[in-house]
Amino acid sequence: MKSNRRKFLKTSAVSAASFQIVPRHVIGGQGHTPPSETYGAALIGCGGRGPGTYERMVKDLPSKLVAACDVQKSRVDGYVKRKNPKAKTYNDFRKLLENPDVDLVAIATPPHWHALISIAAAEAGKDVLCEKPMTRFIAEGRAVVKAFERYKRIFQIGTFGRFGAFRSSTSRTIHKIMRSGLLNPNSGVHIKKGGLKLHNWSGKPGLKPQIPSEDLDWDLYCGPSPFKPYVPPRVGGTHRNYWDYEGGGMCDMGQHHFDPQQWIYGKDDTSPVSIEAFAPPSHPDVTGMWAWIELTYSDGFTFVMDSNEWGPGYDRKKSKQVSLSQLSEKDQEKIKAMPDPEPLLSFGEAVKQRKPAGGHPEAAHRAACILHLANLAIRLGRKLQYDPDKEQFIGDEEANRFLNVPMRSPWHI
Amino acid sequence: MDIQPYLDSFPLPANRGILSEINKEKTEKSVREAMQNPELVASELVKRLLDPGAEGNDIQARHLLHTMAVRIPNYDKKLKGDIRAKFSLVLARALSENYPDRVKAFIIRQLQICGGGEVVPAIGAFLIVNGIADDAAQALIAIRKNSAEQFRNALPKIKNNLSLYRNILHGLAELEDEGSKDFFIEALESEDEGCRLLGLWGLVQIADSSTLELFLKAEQKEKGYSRIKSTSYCFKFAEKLPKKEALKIYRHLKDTRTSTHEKYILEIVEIELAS
Repeated sequence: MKSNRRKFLKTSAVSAASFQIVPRHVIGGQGHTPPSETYGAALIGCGGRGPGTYERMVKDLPSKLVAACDVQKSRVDGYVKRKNPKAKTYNDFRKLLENPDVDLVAIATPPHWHALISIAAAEAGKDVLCEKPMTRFIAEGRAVVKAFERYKRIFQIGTFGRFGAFRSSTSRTIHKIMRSGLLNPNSGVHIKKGGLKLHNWSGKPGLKPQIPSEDLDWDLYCGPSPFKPYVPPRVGGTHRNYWDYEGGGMCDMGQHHFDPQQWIYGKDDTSPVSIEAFAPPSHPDVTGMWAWIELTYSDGFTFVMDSNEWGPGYDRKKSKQVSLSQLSEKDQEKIKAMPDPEPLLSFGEAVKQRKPAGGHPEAAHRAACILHLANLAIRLGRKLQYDPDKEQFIGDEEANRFLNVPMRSPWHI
Repeated sequence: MDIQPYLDSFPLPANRGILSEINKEKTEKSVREAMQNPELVASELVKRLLDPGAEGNDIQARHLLHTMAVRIPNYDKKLKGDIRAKFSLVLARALSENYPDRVKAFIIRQLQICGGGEVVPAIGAFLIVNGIADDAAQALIAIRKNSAEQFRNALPKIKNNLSLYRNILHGLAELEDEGSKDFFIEALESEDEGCRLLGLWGLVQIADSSTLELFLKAEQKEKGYSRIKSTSYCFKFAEKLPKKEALKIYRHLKDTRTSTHEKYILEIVEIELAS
């Protein structure tokens, strides 16, 4: 029996706001740290952003690194040696998640692992701070949302711009206008010009395969993604250049920029309905060039990405901020009378209060959808019509194949 | 047919080895022209594909072939014809020729994008071939139409090969194949933890209430991470069943998740039982 999407969203919003399950460590018992002491914390993915992600997770929480994991042994060993030599080390995240001393998990692997590890961590009763982008494709995000709803765990995406946005009274006013539905049709346009690192995170095709070092579990690194011959840039920060793992600068930087904008413009529970790109044909393996993408929501509000690094600049619409002056005087009064939105909770506060974090799964998923839809418009070379409730393209079966990409056995969402 | 001008319009790596010098106008013109004879162009492009690491370069050939695979479904709709199927069949026929495995894997990945029921048998043949079987499985899962039969037919041939067996169970579970109920049940008895989990997941996917007792009996034997996963399968199964049977699962969890490390599960179960 499949649940109705709208009903599910409504139900999940209510239950997310009201759940009060006590964290595992507070329950106590054999093998658990008493609440007066510390949270057991773990890091999965110890290279690159890993240590920073971990520190962000444990900020404001009394905690201790009890476990760390990486598919590259030298990286996990090096990290633990620096941070806490007594922490347990793992090569396989599944073994780490069995560890009952772990309460909190920071995930800083490449994104093709984000959803699967987040889901497994929730199933193991852990709270999660996961690096951005949240996912590699759209169906993964919905699965993460459902898992955290089912297990009533805390999730925060690893980008924090929305907390700053919340502190701005202008942003809060725009948020209220957008959520009120009084501005429909909506002619607002937000343009992100530059900053999406096309050249930085474009891949090098045609490299000669090499044998991976014995230190690296290449099979586990590939995980749910296709098993491809190893070339060095597939590992490390340059993983971003491969469709198998991420989605170029769009996915690297996009969630940083669009996550707060999505909150400001009140779109945390929906997605664009029309997506069009100006881009040349995309390479099958590596990310590359594009000029602009226009994403329009059902009320007419538009997000634009203008790469400013390749091709013509975007000139279809001009940037137009949403403001009170676009409403009638009567409607302006209604907005002024509306209470401010609920404050966004940091990960630490969310864990302590057992309430959703500011970057909760649904919001993080919808922000990731913006990036995935933009990348799909680039890759497919056609204008796409999207149903944000069903999370499917309309009348385009082949495009839908990119929304739920089959994984390599035994992995599945 | 000389496809070299089309290839020449696609870029080779420029500075820093990336495709930054791509020209939209030129590449789009080549794609439009290639789409006038998609079958011929596809058969020529396939000949240019190289095993990764071999002398020469096939960067442009891969780029153009992929672009055609991505775009041909839309061309097909515009023309109301069957060029998508014809193009896909050209690629499918190449799979029976003497190309390196990684070339065949690339072709299968293009069929994952554009192929339909017409190419399913050609891809299905690779479910029993080590090294390409997972490419074939993922393509078949994406295509879906008529795919389950390929997995079912391959199963008896690979029972002694653990990775191929897992690959097929995984595919049948992804496809929610009700005709594979007995395969999933059989997998519950496997000595391999991965196969047992795939068997459990397969039963959840088809959500046949007649398998519930078997499912519950099998799932409670799992330990460690497998127990974490089998618990999640219990929840998913319960969500798919009518309330009366769902309650049976929640009561089962209440009776079996008694370790101090599983208190968080009991809390969820209590909420479900009270609802």
